[in-house]
Amino acid sequence: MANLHIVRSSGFTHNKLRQCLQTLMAADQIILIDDGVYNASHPDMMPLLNTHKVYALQDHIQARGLTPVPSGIELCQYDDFVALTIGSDKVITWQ
Amino acid sequence: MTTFAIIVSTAPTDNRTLTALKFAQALLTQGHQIEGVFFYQHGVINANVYLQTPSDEINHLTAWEAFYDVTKTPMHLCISAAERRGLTDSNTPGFSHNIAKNFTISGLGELVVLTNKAEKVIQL
Repeated sequence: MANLHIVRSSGFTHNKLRQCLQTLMAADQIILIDDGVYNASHPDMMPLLNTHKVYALQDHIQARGLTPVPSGIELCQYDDFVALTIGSDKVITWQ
Repeated sequence: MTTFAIIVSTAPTDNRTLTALKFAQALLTQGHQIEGVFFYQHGVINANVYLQTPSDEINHLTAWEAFYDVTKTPMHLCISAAERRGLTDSNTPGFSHNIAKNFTISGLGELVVLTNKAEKVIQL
């Protein structure tokens, strides 16, 4: 089973994104929420978009005017977020 | 149905607190169960009865209280974290009990119990 990483802070101002990426395993998934949605355009994220499933909460993307998001990032709702936590082995929050 | 425990560690001044509430509501709407919400670190400030916000902003205290009124989800407050931040359940002279009534005075031991009971623990 895979883990879900919830990234809640921007990689442009905090180092949590980097720490998250250091622990990321091959089958893990990432969801960007809150200021974590700024990572949608962070250089460190770009290589991951080909290898990992990356989601972003649509409400938070829109609230920050970040549309359109790079292809490879899937926008989701709270319901999908809940489903992701249930489908994962462990849920790790980076905030 | 999956059982959850939720840890809230963000202050009412932080918009991330609303994310936790919305996530909790989405869980229950989908028919899952929350064993308890554990307010820890700056999250305890959400339980201060003196919290006031401008009328066009969300008051996190009343929002969580309304959530409790509808769902009866246990809301645990880490008392050690709370006392460090000026909350008290004491009524002795010089103190005024300022923890909202829907919060249960708790400690990290309760978080251990919740972690044990719930299938998923989510920190938000």
